[in-house]
Amino acid sequence: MTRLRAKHSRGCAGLLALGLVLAAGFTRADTPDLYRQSYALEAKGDYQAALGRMREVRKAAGASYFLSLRTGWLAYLAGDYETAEASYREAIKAKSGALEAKIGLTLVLYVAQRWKALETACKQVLAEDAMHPMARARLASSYYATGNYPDAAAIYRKLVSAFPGELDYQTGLGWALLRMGKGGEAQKLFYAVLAVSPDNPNALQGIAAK
Amino acid sequence: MTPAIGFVLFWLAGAVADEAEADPRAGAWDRSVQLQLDGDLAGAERIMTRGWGSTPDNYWVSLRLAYLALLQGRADEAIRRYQALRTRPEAEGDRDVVRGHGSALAAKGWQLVNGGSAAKARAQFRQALAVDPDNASAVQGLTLIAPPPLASPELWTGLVGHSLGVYRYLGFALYGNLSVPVQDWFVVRVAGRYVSSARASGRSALSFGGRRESPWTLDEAYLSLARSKGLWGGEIVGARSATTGQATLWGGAGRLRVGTFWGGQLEAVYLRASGWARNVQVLPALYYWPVAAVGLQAGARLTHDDRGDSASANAGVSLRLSPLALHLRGHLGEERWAFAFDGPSLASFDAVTSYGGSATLLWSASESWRLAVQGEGERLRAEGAIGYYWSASIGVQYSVR
Repeated sequence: MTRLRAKHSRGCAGLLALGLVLAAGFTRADTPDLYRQSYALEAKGDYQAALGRMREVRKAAGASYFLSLRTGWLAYLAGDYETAEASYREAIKAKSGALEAKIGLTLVLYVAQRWKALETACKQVLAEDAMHPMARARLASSYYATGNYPDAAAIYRKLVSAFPGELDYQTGLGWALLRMGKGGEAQKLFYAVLAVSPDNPNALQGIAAK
Repeated sequence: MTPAIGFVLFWLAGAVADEAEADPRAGAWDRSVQLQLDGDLAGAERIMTRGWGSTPDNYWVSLRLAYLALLQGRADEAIRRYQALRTRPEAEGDRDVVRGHGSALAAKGWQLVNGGSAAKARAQFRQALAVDPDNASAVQGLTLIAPPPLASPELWTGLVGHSLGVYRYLGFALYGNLSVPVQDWFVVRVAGRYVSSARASGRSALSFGGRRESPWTLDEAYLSLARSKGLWGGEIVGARSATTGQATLWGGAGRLRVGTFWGGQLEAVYLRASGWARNVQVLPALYYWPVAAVGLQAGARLTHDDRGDSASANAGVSLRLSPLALHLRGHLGEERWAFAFDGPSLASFDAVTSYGGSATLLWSASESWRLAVQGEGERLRAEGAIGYYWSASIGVQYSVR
């Protein structure tokens, strides 16, 4: 009886070990698939589901820089700015030298219209890459939105000079000038934009606002 | 307002104030503009300097500080700021910086005008026009303080007539005037008038066909020194008037003016004809140019004369619509030997002038030539007799440059 019990016990231990091995093998095999599924869902525009897959990955494999970065991106696409901001901040914490997470954070803060936080985030990017055009443009937006038209105009003007084909920078400068009472110069910019982009809403509104 | 809404508004106001406190640049432009519109220029400037400092690198903030300095009368500072701004790449194609620079230079010109430095002011106005040829203030300044001509001879001639009771007189007048500026110190003016008149027996003073008798002549001479500097201006005149059959009239007059576009002036006159009468006149007056084209003046002439004291109200209107100018003067109330600095001239009638006036129309045909016509009329009263005086003259003035 004792021998039988011992034999049974050995058999159970073997099954448990097999189960653990199988479980571990299943997890390792499922994470790539979850990523695969997440990409496919993102491509289909189902951002919530794509984000859900990333949450499953987090449960299964724990947090990582890339997971935080992708979660931030998908949360942004899904319109969940709170999660997006938290995820980008998590990514920044994980790799403080990485620029992309900081840029991602500026995007989220920009669409969330959190202007003062955006200003700080842009300045963090520009501290590492002073000429980063996207960070400069978003900083200009934050200045404009908080009524700091002179600094917004100063940034936009340099961007227009460096990127004459980027029409948003031209309309941004136009609006900043308009707010400072320089309607004539603003009009020139808006008309220049409309000459190449006849339905540009920013330029059309600028013309109408004069 | 419910307490809840009140709380929200209070909270919002606090939040905005906190944001402005935290970031002095946030909303600074709009607040500064609003303060400017409210008339608080110093406050408008303070907001900008609080955000960007007093020597900001930002082009548009510097432009605004230059403009606010100009509005507050700090022309030198505004000129410095605009000059610095014009070297910036942002200034390319910016009309505001050009206009502002021109206005600041013109403002400095006006400060020099008010300080009495006409030559420096002219240079400043020319500089303003070199920067901005459309600067109207500089054009006005240069017009106002055009370099004085070397001399301005002036000649008038015309018909004069007067009646008193049954007597009527008709004649002609010649008048000459020469003004010579002595550097920037003062202007010397020598003037003389000659009138020859005869009693006309016709019914009308305008009748030339009637027999003339009892001719009389009048000759007057004036010497004047005038000086004007900044807010102040003054003139002294010596006068002599001799009429056939009357004692020669001698005297002097002084005028003191304070102000530019508006101000006051005081005239004092002393005239004496030996064995006949002594006459003292005081004429305080105020003047005002609400716009550059219209000038108004009002005052009173108080006369103390051995033959009787009197007071009269005086008023004048000047219209300057280049190249024409019209000057209207009038008085209501009795005057004796009324002296006028414009001219100068003296109403050397033995009679009292009860009311009257003059109209002078000037046409600046060129920078050097001016043509003029003048009409004058006065109601006379003497020893119960009533009469009128009139004159119609044409004149020409030439400025030697």
